[in-house]
Amino acid sequence: MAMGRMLTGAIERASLMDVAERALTGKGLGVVDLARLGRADVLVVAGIADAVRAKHRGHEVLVLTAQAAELATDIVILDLDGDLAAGPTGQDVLVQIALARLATPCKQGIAVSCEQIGLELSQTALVFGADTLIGDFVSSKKTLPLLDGPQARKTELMGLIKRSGRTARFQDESPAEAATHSSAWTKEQP
Amino acid sequence: MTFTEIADKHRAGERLSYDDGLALMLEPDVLKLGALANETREKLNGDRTYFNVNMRYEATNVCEASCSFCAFAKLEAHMPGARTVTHEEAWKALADFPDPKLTELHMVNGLHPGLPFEWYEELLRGWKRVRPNVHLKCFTGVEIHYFAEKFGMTHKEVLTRLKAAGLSSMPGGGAEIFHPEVRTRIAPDKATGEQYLAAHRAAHEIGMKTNVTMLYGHIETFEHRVDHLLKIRELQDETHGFQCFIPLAFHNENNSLHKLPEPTAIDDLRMISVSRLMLDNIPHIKAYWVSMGIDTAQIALRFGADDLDGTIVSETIYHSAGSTVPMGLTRDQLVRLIREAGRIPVERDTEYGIVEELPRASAPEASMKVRERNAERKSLRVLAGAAS
Repeated sequence: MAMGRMLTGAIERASLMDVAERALTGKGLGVVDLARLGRADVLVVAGIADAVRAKHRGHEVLVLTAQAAELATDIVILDLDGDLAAGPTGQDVLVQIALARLATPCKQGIAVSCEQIGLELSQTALVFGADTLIGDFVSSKKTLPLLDGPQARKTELMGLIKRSGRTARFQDESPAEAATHSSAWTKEQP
Repeated sequence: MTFTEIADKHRAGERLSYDDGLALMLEPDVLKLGALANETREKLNGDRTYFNVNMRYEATNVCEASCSFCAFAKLEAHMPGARTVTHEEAWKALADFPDPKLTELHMVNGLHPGLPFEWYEELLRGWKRVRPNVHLKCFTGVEIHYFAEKFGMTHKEVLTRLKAAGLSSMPGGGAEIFHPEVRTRIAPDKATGEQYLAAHRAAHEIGMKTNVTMLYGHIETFEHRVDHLLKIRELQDETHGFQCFIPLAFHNENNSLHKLPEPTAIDDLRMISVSRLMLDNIPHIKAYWVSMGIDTAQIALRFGADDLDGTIVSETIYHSAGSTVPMGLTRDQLVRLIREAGRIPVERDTEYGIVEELPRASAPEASMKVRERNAERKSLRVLAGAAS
């Protein structure tokens, strides 16, 4: 099972081991399991979603423009600022992303819009089950700045993804090209 | 040592070492780190999450120091944007503050070369005349050291006089990074790390509580961060005067470090978690929403933090450096953030006395509420309806 001792212990304490095992099949959970997870500790839900993502979707983060995302057939795009009363808080958004990962069969990726939830939450979403970021990254300082110029923005975004322990792949890149980016967390100093 | 070994050591109540701290900084799995820090946070503070009704104030932005990360200071009083309030303006700001529940005024200033010490004493005395029940948390360790040098007093003499004028505690600003390899480059002409800590020691010795900070995410290394945390822990062992540690994320606008990227949300969460684990003798870890943004600050309440700071109302130091968060939050907004994080909101005073403990959210459970934007795929939407 792709979960460490700490997460396994937390899942056992929450009596959710059966749910976690079903989640790790990657087939998508049903409403009863999702309701049980909805009452669980946030980090337990995140941990299961992250383990499912790691097992079935790998460590790559796909970066798409909004136009390309609309055409993609293998991702679920989440609409995260819809009809929630009084607007969702950051934690609410992240829990929704994790539950969406667990509800969705893993043949589909989970995509979030950076314009919609900001770069700060988008980056954190990557450890809550998301594997695709959508955005044109032109003037999107919501809480984190992007340097001027397309290449600089791309570099900064790659850094953002790398700091979350993942590897970026931009829509115009093949997996082989993406592999040339330094892979995942390299114990690099800030 | 592996993460598991460090976790076992920590759970057994054994103090974490410099090498342990470094290993935690380098731990790639931030969820795992957060879960361990959350255990400690809940052991120390349960679900209680603190906030206060406070106002920020800056009486002058004129400052002799030339810190490279600062976008707030103006070197001389005649420079464009330089501003020093009058006593009357400062007293009126407090008198006119609309919320009767205000418990704290938090003031941080530049190191103004032209103001006499008596000016500050009278500023505090006036505030006490206007609203005697408001706690005055004013002057960083850097300011206290500046006064001591400029006016020929010891730290203790400075603090004793300010206390007599109405000062009740000190904020934690000005700590930056203690290690001289960094401090001499980013803050070369103000109090050293030792002098900052000496000012706090003096405050603790006269019975005054203080907070302590670290500015991270610029040119420092993880080694410098761990060294900083250990120096705080050492002084706390000696005095027990620190109430709260506040990691402050570097912002890069309008200062000479503008080419550096800012720390990311994941870096912020990592810093909160490592702080909670290393500072075993500091009661509270604050996720300062002005520094890390509201969303990340709320999530940090699951990664080791137990305090969100307060309403603030009008902050200029971070906003000068590019912070895009609101200038203030209402009490209701803070309560909602805490409740929706599944925690218990506790309004506190500056010294963590409980003003009011509010009930937790009545239905904390999350349910699937997201909509799938892709119109042709209905499955997730159906699930959303069924699980809500």
